[in-house]
Amino acid sequence: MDDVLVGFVQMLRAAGLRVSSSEALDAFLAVQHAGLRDRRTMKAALRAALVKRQQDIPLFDELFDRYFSPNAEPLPFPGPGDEGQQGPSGRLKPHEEFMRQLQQAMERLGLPPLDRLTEALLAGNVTVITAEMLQHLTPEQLQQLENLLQRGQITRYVLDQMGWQRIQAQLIQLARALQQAGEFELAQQVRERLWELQELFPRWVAQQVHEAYNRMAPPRERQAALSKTLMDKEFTRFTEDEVRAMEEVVNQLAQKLREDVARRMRRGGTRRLDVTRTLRASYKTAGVPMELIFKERQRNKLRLVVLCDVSSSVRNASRFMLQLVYSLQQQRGHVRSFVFIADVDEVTEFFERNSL
Amino acid sequence: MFKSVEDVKERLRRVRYLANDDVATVVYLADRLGKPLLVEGPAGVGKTELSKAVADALGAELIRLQCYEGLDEAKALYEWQYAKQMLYTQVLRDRVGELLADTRTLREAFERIAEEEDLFFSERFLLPRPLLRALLSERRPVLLVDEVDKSDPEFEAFLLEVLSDFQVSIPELGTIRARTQPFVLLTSNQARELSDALKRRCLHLFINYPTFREELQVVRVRVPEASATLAAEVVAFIQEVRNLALKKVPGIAETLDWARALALLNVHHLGVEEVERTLGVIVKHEGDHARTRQSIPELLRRAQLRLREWGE
Repeated sequence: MDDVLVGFVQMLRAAGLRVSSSEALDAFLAVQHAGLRDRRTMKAALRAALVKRQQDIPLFDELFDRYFSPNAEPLPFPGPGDEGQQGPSGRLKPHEEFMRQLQQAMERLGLPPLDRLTEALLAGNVTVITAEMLQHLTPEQLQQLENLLQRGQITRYVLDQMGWQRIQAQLIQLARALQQAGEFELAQQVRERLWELQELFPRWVAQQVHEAYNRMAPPRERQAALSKTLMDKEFTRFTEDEVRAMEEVVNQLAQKLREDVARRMRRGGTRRLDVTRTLRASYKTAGVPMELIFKERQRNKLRLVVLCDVSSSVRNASRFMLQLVYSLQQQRGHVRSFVFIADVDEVTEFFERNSL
Repeated sequence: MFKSVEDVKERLRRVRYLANDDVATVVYLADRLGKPLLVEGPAGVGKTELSKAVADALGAELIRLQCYEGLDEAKALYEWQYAKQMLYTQVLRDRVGELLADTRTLREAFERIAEEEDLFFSERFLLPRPLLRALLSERRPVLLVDEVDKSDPEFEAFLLEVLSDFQVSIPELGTIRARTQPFVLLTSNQARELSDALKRRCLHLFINYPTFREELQVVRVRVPEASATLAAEVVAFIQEVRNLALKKVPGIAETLDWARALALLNVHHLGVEEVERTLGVIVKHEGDHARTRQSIPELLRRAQLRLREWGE
């Protein structure tokens, strides 16, 4: 189970979620306490430990569903034996019969046991394979990935790291040993499985690389693209997404401004004693200053009058500028907005009443 | 301590808080792992209510720290009771005079006073604020840090320190360690993004507006005086209002208030007039009010359709 969780955390990271080691540790503990019986409980437990931002929840849900339900996994491993057999727990139990026979035969013949990954591949155990693969598919690598050609390189690299050559050799040897021992049927099955894997597995890895890239690309790509293009883009051509991104930036700036103001109000940490008022208050306690009165710093409310030119000479920019004025007004403080072409008119109310 | 996820659900239900599986699981984990629980979500979905229910279910004291801009350590942790110290000095003035009567030099008198200094900086004059109270509590309390997003980043950093070690230092008294580690809940309306450090330290729970069935259950449990039809109609209507993109979307609290108000007015069936008369209970922003008022018939029609779909 630990491997599976490590694999899952790596998948989340590859998809661009920030998961710290302490959070991963929490996830282990959480799963231990919540138990594994129930899928929904486990999902809630992992989500509580690993996802801390509301906007990441849909992505997490999607990845969880993909990772923890073999049915949804795109890995096409039909393999020998009956296909898609459902276990009592609702999990796929692929090729159990074949694996059992194989293991018995290997024990009988005194063949060395297969390593974990080889066995997983034979059995079509997608969870183990995915976990193993993600260890070699790090976000750093994916970052370097810029075009389709490199995607092929990464796929080859991941295959190498997983020991794909060695696994094939191992299976060929296994088939040969079974053949010599007279286990013709099993040998044939192993060989068939190997051919299948040779055809399917590199393709599956390539697909996983592709998907991992797509998963992590959007935020990064969009951000880079955004900052690059905002500078030299015509105002009229802003898309809705960009407008929203801008609104967010304005929000952040306003928040920062508020924090700075608040910090300045508290500067020095100590309040100044208002001697006059403290003395006056002390009369009622026979001259003993029981009640200390401090000077309040005056805080002026922000009053802003925004004047926006929307005449035809700046028509291209006016949509953007109006957007900016609107965002400003959405912030706290007292903002009155005016626009003018030939005459000035107040639009505060329109902005207040309507959203974009 | 809760025994299992089912136990959480059951005990919360007994104090009339209906938790879905996700909420129950996360509350159980926070309790078991001893981690603070950060609850986020829009206003009025029952975040604060959850804390109260958890305290009730555990039979623990609820200690609440309401955050606001400018909240500082003195208000959250402890203050020296200056006035009380002053009063004691006044009352004891004669006694102090006697004590110092046989001293000859100023230095001698000063030394003697200094010997008794501890008296004036003892727990007797310490006014514990919520955080310190939670640490000093004999039985494990539930500490609710409400609307932590309203506090300043500096306070958040300070809170982080308290929540990770569960101890504070008071210069005059030394370090005070928690007697029992409190069950900590933090709520946030996401007015600003909290720091990563704080979020990493906490388990996270996001509560959204409830589904029709969940909300209907809540209304039935909390407002038993409202008839079944009325409750269903109220909830269906509110669910429609939430789709209107209002400035202040009505939460569960508003739904409950409204159901109570309507039951009090002996309303058994929602019509345009009934809604108009009581709209102020659910829509509290002026612009929203005008907007909702216009679309009451439409909203009622859609609510009826949805009710039929749900088979209520």
